[in-house]
Amino acid sequence: VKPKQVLEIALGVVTSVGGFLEVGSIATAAQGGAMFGFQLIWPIALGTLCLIFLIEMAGRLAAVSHHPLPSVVRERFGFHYFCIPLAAESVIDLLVLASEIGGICLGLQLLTGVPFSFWALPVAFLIWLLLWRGTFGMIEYGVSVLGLTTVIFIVAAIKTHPALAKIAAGFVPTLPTHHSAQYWFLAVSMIGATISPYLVNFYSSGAVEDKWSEKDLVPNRITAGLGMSFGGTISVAVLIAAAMIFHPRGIRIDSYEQVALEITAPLGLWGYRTFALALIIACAGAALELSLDIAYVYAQGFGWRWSKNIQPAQASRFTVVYTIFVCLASLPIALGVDPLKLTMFSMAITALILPLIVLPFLIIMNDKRYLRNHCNHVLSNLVVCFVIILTAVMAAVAIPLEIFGGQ
Amino acid sequence: MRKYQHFGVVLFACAGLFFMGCEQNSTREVEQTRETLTSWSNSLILLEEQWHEGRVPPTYVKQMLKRADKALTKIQSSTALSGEVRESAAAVQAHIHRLQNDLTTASQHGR
Repeated sequence: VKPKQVLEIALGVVTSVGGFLEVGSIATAAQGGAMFGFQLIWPIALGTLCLIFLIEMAGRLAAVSHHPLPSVVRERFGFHYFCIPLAAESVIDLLVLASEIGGICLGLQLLTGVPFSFWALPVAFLIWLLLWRGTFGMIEYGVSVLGLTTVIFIVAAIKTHPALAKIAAGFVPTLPTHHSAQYWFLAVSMIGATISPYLVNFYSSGAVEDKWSEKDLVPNRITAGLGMSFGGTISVAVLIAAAMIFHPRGIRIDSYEQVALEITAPLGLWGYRTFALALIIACAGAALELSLDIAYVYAQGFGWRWSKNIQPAQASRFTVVYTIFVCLASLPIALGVDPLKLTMFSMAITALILPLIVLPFLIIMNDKRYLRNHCNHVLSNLVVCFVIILTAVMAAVAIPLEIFGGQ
Repeated sequence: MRKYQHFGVVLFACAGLFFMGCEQNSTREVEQTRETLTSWSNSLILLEEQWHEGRVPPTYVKQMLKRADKALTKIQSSTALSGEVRESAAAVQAHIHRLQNDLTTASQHGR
């Protein structure tokens, strides 16, 4: 690894850490910690492990084949099959984008006192404006570096002085002693929040935009491993702080505003303001990446011109896609839909739909026509297959149980 | 006739299961309502502590009270409350009102 690559790796790790946490990871981890203490650390660990493999694969595919994932899926499986992951990704991205817009609006509500629904349309306009005017580098690095404010959760978790043995025990999956349906529903939502498909597509498109080649394979591996591990650590910190503040007091998270208390208890007023700011930045980063992701999927799949580094007029259909999605996603929040409920639902649906997106990706990663001598090893295939199928089965059981009020 | 007798037994068993399910569902609903009320009550205690220690701004207290009030209204409108649950709901309601009054007094005194 050369000095220039070390700088790239450092930047990549910072970007991954700053861009890891978003509305879904905060909501699910806080709820998990509040209801089950440290018992639900394992879904975050499992999801992060799977995400490391997926991100590394996405970067490897782009570096070796010079094609982003959607265009390869269409080429390899044909247009009719491509419509399935396209539909799945459209649904997930729209729901998660709406949740992220809800997160930004809630952050603004915390800072100003103005109800979140009033912020939905101005926030949507600002996101669209940033997408219209900004370059890929500005969106990728700018927002992600600001996203390092989410490190406040680690500070808060340390200040609550948790017992390390209890944290370590949380990494081992255990059966619930109460509220089984909610336990499994939360576990599924936490994995869904961690393995966000948009991260995979966005990463692979970014690698193509940055013209990666085979010499970038080692930095890719290090960035995926370190970046996602540090990101996962922040998610675990959200859970630890919730487990220390809410769980002993018998407080459940019934509204997103409550989450602020896990920061203010150890850190006070400055923690409150930083939490609101971190929520805005983290959700804004995710909203920008999600909007670009859906535009990438459509443009790459249909063979339209795409790049965030060219003028909107030169990639008009690409621009139209993100414009439509940002407008649609702002509507539920403007209409007052509860951001927490929307987020939990979106994360669980993500977990259920994951196989439709990940399994074709795995087949491609084992195809020598695209990866030549850089195909997947048995270990990566096994880990990703195991986590994705397990999560989907858990989701298929837990979602109906949760909806119909199981205990 | 024998066939209809079997049908009757099956129907009776199904009805029994259905009513048992309803019974369990309603017990579960009462339990969930009780847990929600306890959670909000404890949240308000924590909120009050933190507000008095200057850890959260009044605007946040206002938002949380609004949220708690909304959750309480939803519970009161959707469930036929049992005596114990009704008492818990009244206690949470009283806590919300007391904090709202404290908030108004604090803002009048410019705190």
